Amino acid sequence: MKWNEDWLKANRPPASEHTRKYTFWPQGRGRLIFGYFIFITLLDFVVLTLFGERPTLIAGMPLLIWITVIFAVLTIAGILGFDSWTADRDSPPVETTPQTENELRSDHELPS
Amino acid sequence: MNFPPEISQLVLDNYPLIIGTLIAYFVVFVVISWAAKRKLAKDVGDYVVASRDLGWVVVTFTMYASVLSGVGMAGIPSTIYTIGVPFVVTALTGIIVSTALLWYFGPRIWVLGKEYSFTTPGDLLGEYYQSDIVRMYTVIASVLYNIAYIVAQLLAGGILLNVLSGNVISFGVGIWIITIIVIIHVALAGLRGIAWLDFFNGALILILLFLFGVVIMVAAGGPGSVVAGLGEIRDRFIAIPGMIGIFSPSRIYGVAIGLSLGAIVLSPSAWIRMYSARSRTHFAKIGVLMLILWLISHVIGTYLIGTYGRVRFPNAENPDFVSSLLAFGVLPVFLATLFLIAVLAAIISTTDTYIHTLTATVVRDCIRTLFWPKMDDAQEFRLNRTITIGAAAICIFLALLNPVLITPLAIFAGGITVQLLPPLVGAVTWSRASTEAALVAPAVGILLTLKWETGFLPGILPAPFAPALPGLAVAFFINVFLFIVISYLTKPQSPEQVEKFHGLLARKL
Repeated sequence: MKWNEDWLKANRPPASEHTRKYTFWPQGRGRLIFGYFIFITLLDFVVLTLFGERPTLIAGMPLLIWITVIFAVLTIAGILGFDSWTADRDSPPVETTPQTENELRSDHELPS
Repeated sequence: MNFPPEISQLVLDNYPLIIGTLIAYFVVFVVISWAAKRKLAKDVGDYVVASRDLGWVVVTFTMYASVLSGVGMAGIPSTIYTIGVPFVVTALTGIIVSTALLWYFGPRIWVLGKEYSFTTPGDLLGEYYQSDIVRMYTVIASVLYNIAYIVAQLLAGGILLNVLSGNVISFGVGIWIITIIVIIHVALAGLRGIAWLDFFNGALILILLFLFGVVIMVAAGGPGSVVAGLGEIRDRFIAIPGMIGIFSPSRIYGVAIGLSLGAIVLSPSAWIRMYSARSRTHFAKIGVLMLILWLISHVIGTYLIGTYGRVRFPNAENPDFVSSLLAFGVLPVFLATLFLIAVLAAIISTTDTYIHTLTATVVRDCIRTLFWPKMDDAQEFRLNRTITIGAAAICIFLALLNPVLITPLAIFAGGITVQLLPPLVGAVTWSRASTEAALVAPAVGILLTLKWETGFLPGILPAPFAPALPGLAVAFFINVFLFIVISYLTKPQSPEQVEKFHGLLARKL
């Protein structure tokens, strides 16, 4: 049996020498994007807590569903907005595998 | 299964129509499998990750169809029937959060997969933490998750074939038929064939859920009238904490962790689909389209089916069959038949996806890594097919021995895979994470989930914070806490390893 635990042999520096270049909290725009999604998630939780017990219908649909649909719309807006924002900043090259004409067509429909 | 006599009679009266529609579906199935087989390259990369060239629409539909399964078509309407609107919110909240996480993790997993030819979750985590124990955690999570889902699908498939055949095909024979169809499909077509079939199945499911919801609204006289029909339970049904009185916001988020995060982001099949996408730039489109599909499915489909099911069949013996009963009670026979075939399609999509994933992770992460390191691609390709048959046999055995409810099983399965989230965060975004943390924290999370969700492992501790939080959510938070604390108490990865992963991602993204 070949069992590898190479981390036991790896030259790992003490914590004090760790560079901290790559942290969970991103820098710049990334931090704003993180903040936005955390904010709307907390907002959803707070709104569910404050208003979720009301048996109210709006246009025939329960208030709970409207709250969740608005949360979904905010998420979609955030993804599309931030994606185009970061795409503007990151000009080519776009990381992609080579595409043939057939593959490009099959990007949008089933190949025949 | 004990269907009401009038519905059994309805099925028998329309037998030629039902069988004809069923045959038509399987003709489409065979044509898609044949087309995929023609395009299947003779290498393991195409079999497992479809040569990393699936378009974003196909990836979206394959993720949608494989996750929806019998859970979305039968299980979620039945849980809405039992709990009320808070469960619609639970399902959708989990999907919304999962969409954001998919957009975040998808490109990172894709870049690492393409750079280092990863095809499974174990490839990525095992390589980053340089540990085969960590790799084995992904295999254990994959086996538990996939078997739980496959067994539930086979049970539902056996019942459906029994109903659609007017009791000509017995429940047990139905399970065998579904399994044989899936084995042939997976063995011949690989992920490409699964993805193409999922595209077709996903579109069929979406259209029929939407049509079902519209017909319900027409039959009841509008969405408000559907709710009004609930009578005296109306207020409890449409508001927190729901019919059984425990679905508070914290429980909604806790259950969503297992039901959606575990399935959409962390399940091995979702992970493999992230590798198989054609470009890292596709994940925003995949996330947004998938969320729109789920919104249509749940707001128009499962919410109205579960709610109107409660109105029409207030004392259903088994809520898992409410959607089928309601289909024949509300829809024209042809559409009702199509709906049940769509459920069957969802079951087939999920079963073939999860058998494929189970096989790929066991072969690559366990057999190839530990016992047969010199296995070449052709041998791995053949072994994948052999293991597929073995895995299917185990699932048939379990399905015939252990009848289960669909939704609780899905939540448990997701509760297992979500325990891989902390090590994933360490591998792609938090370089302070250590191997010791990746060894201890997920193991504790998986064991506590087994303890608190299934009663497996007697003794130790009762689930804390119940019913405000489900056991799997508490297990997940303990996992996260341990992962952070142990990482800070131990040494980080070597600078070379950090640059190999985090440095690459910083340059590419």
